[in-house]
This record gives sequence, C-alpha cells and structure tokens, in this order.
Amino acid sequence: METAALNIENLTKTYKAWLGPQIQALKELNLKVDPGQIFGLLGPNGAGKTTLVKTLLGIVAPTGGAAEIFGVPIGRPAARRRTGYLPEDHRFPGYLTAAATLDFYGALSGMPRSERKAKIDAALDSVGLLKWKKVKTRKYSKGMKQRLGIAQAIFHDPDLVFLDEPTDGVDPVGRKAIREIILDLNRRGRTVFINSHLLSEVEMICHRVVILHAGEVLREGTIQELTRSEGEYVFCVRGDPGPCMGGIKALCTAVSGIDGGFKASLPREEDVDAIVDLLRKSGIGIRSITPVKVSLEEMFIKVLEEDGAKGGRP
Amino acid sequence: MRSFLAMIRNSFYEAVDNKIFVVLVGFSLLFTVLILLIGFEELPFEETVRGIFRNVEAHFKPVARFGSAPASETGGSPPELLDVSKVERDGKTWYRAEFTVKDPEKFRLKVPPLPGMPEWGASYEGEGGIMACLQFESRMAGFFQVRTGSMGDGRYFLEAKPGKTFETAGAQQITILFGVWKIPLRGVTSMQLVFGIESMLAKFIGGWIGVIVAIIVTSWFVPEMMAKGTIDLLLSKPVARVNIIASKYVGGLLFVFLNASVLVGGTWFAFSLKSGFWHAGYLGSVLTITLLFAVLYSVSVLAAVLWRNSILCIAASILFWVLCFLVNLANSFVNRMSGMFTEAPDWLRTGVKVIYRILPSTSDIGDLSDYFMSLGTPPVGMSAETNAKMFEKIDFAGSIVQACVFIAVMLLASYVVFRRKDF
Repeated sequence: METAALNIENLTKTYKAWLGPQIQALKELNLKVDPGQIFGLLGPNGAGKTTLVKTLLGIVAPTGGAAEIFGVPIGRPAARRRTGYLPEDHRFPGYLTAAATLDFYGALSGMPRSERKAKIDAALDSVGLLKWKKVKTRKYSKGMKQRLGIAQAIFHDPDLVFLDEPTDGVDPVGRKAIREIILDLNRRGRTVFINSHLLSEVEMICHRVVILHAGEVLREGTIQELTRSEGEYVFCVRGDPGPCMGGIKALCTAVSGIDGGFKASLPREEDVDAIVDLLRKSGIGIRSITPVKVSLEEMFIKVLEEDGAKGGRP
Repeated sequence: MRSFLAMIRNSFYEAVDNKIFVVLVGFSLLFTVLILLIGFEELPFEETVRGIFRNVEAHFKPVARFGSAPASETGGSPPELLDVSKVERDGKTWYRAEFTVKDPEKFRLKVPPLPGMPEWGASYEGEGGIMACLQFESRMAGFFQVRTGSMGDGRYFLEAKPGKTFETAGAQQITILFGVWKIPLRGVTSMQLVFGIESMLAKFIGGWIGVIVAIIVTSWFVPEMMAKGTIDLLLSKPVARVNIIASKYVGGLLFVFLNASVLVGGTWFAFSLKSGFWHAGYLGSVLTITLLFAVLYSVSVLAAVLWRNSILCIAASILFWVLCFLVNLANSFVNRMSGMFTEAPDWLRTGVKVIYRILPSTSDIGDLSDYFMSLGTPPVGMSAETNAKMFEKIDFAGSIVQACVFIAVMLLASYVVFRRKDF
C-alpha cells in the first residue's frame, strides 16, 4: 500500500496566552492526502489554514495528535527534506540576488553545490526571472517575489509542495504560468497542497479540497463531489415530456422546464431511475442526465452559512 | 554541515550588505593610510639628552608645587648641557654628555614603589638624587646601559650606550605628509608612541567604540531573521533550530572579527612598516575585541529570541556591559576595603565574589589586550619580569573559560527559548 503524502490524525493546536483566552486553532483534525494529488485547503480568515501548514512543517509545535509526511513524523528534518514551502507574505533577504537566493535555500534543503549551480538557470527560467538573475531581490516587485518564492519552493524537487496563496499579487499572465507550474509538478507525480482564497483557481487545478473552519474540517472531497448540487438533475430529452410530467412531479420536490428538457429536484438518488422508466414508457428519448453543479465559491459560502459562520470567524 | 555553512555565509552577506560594514572598513583603511603617511626620522643624540634633561626638570617641580615655599625658591634648575661627544668603551661606541647643575641641594625625588625596580620606592636628595633621576630617565628613554658621575666643580657626565633608534626617547621626530610637517618626539620613544597608539586603538577604538558599534549593527541580525515571512522559510527547511541560532551567532562574530582584523591588521602593518617596530602582540587584540563582543552578543541573541526587538537587544547588551563593569568595580572595592579603613562585611564580600565569578570579567578581557601587547616587547623602561609581575595576579585562563561558559549558557538559553517558540 502506498504511503500517504500526508496523514493527519487528531492534530490539535492551542495557542496559550499569558493573559487572555486560549485559542484553539486546530481541533483534532484528521486528513489524508494521497501522493500525486493537487490538494486545496479552503477556509475563511482565521480558520486555521496557515496554522495547519505551519504545524505540518514544524514551524508551529502541535499540542496534540500526530501527523506524518510520507510516513515520517512531522517535526523531524527528514520530513521537511521532502517538502517545499511558499509562505504567505514571505520575505527574501534583500541583499541576495535571485540566483543567490535559490542557492541559499537550495543549500538549506540539502542540495549539493554542483546540483544547485546546474539548476539555478532552469529554475529561474521556469518562473520568467532568468533575466533578473543577478538583480538583488529588494528591487523586485511583489509578483516577481512571488514567482521567485515558487521557484524556491520547488527548486530542490520536493515530493510535497505547500503553497500558501501562490498567485497572490501576480497578474493574470503570471497566474496562468504558476498554474502551469503546479500542473507540471503534478504530472511529474508530485503532491501539491494549496492554501488559497482564489476559489476559481482552486477549482481549476485541485483534485481534492477540504474546507476548514474554526480549526475543524467542514467538508472534504473531490471538486466534483463538492460542487454537485444534491438531488438536482438536468434531463435533456428528445420529444415532449408533457404526457408523463404528472408522474415525474410526483417523484420530485420541484420541477422546472428548460430548453430541451427539464430540471428536477429529487429527494432520493434512486428516483432518477424511476424518472428514466417513466420517460421510456412514454417513448421519450433521453439525451443526457447531468447532476446540477454549483461553483466552488457558491458551495463554499453555502457550507459556511450552514455552519452558522457567514463572514468567517473574526 | 552544508546548511550550517550556508547560514553562516548568508549572515556574512547580510553583514557586508550593511553600509555600516563598509563605513567601518573604510574607517580602518583610512587609519592605515594615515599611518602610512607618517614617517619616523632620527634626531641627534644631543636632542635626546636635552629630552632627558627636560624630564629631569619635571622632577623639581612637584617638590615646589606641594611645598610651602614658592617654586622659584625651592625648585631647582634643570641640568645645563655643556658638551656631547662619542667615547669608546668596551669596544663599543657610547654617547657622553657633560652638564652642570646649579643648585643640586634643592633636588628631591620620591619614587613610588614598583615591583622589580630596586631603585624605586625610595627618596633621593641632592646630587645622588639627580644621578638616580638621570639613570631612571635614561632607562625610560631606552638606554639600558647608563653611567653617571661627577667631574667636580658642579660638572657631571652622563654616558649611555645607544640602542635601536626606536628605543631612544627624543631620538626621533615624526614627519607627516612626507616631511611637510615635523614633530620631534619629546621624552617618548617612537616605540612608546607606536605602543601607545596601538594600545589606544586596541582598547578604546576597537575594544570600546568598535564593540558598541558592532552591538548596534548586529542587534537586528536575529530579530530580522525572526520576522514573519523570513523565519517561516528558514524553519520549513530541514535545518535544526540550534544550527539557525548558532550560525547567526557565528555570523555576528565573523562580522566583528573581520572588522577588527582590518583595523588592527592594517594599522599594525602600517606602523611596523614605518617605524620598524614589528609588534606582533598588538595583533592579539583582534581576539580580545572579538571575545568581548562574543560575550555581549550572546546577551543580544538571548534578548532577540525573547523580544524580537533590536532596540531591546542593544539595551540589554549595553546594560549587561555596564553591570559587568560595576561588578568588577565592586569586587575591586570590596577587596581594597580590607585593611584600608574598614573590613567589608562577609555577606557583601561573598555576594560580590559570587556575582563576579558568575558574570564574565570584561575588564580582564580588556587587560588581556594589554597582556598581548606586552608579550615579547614589554613597555619601554620595564623589564620582562616587571611586566610579567603586573599581570601575574590576573587569571586570564580562568577569565577566558568563565567568558566561554557564560557564552555557552546564554546560547543554550537562547536555543531553549527559540526551540519552543511558534512562528
């Protein structure tokens, strides 16, 4: 059985203050990420997303539970050797050039000098910074720093990459390039863990998504699973379904006509079969039956509303 | 090891990137260039003897100043030079100066006691006093073989075997800007001058101003590293936290070591080249400056991991330095109190002693500079034995160990705090 890229069991983090209340940032969190996935971590501000990533990388110490990265307990350098990380609002030493920055962080990641030298140009080229190679990073724009951050996170070819708001401050062209990089990593079998507010981007590239709120997992699943509107289906048919609409309405909670068919809300999934039977009996051809989908953003807001947390935790 | 070295290299880049580093190095190089513009020229022996006589004259004045009568009545006149010549003695050339002293009976000299100098710690009066004084001043001028005597009728002679030019007080003059400006050295040898300036550079410029500047410059190294966005990146790498702290500390030391090396090395080379006095002991002050900084920087690092604020780091380091100074002062005072006016209470003596033993002795580290300076070349007029006796009561090895233990404890405490910190 393949080892999970990330396996989290009952992970808890409580920030203890000298004065004032304790803050439970993560509450017995359980999560598993398979290798080769692009995994999206969603949640409102203060949901515990960054705390989760920092805990997994040993930047924050957990107060309970356990987690493993490719079978190695978090906190050990061996676990971090297989990871790359792009923090939100990262700051590179302004006195280093782009090449020196990659060289420095590559050395910290354990890359031999010869390998670093050999890979720097290609890594900078992949994020469009090759011509800025010898310029100190203090002169970089936010977008350039973000692209250099991505190059730094993947420079040592890690198996698991954590990207915290990877497209933050990047223009649309740059975003597309970053998406391409992420997809390329995935094609090469790497696991990518994205923490982002840009739900449309997450929807475009993530295989699985988890929604975190107040340190707890509210939803987890594939994009298809999460964006499917439960019990709503669009039936595209050949012919007029009018003669059997009475029977169909009896099975549905709501039915509305659309061009070339109808949209039905069904209380049970097996009622789809019953409607198919009714249509067949009436001699009406079925072109397609499609579950109605909502956008990730709609689903996200709905989930938070259901949890009684519209607008997120302050 | 690779990551540790990368961190040190990065700390070094960080230090070099700072404009203050460039300013400090520039300052040191400026010193070096200025010294290279100085020249040392030999003066005739006559000038040297006049310098010695001028110093003898100085011994009359304290008597007059502190006596009840006015200076003109009790103070004597300086020796008056009659003739200077060269004589052969034991196959060597000696200098001979003949002179008169008008009122030798008025001469009184009280020499404070000094270990290893039998002629010190006594009172001299009249002719004998003048002769002793001349012997002493000649020695101070670098003549270690001196003969004095009376020729009758108020005439006396002084014979001295010349040493190396830089050992002879008043025998040289300094030329500045290739002879544009000439300053004769009065009562001081060029060696003493070089020794004095080097001592000032080692203890005042390097060991005091330099260390304060270094504390200020390096105070933001650790707080900057612990800023959000920077520390996240570092901690996400497979680097042990102890390495991060240790490398930042070593980076700071490297910064000071390099600066001290440029200042001390440059000025040493320039002085040696121009004066011919290759005083290697001065180079040891690079280590003492670095050691003193190492002690204070360890406090700065602990303050940084506790508060992540460079101002507090500076304040903590300077206050700690002041505390060390006060404890050292208290220790000396308590020790001197015994047998002077009153005995210090036991609890006070023990308390001060304990604190003195716990805290690193920054004053001993400063004295270590003097010790290095005197190695091989004791200050002029002082024998190697006398010089050694001056330092025999200071336990340098113990002070170094004490400083190293203190540094280790501070860094360990910094690591413990840093290891448990969430970012």
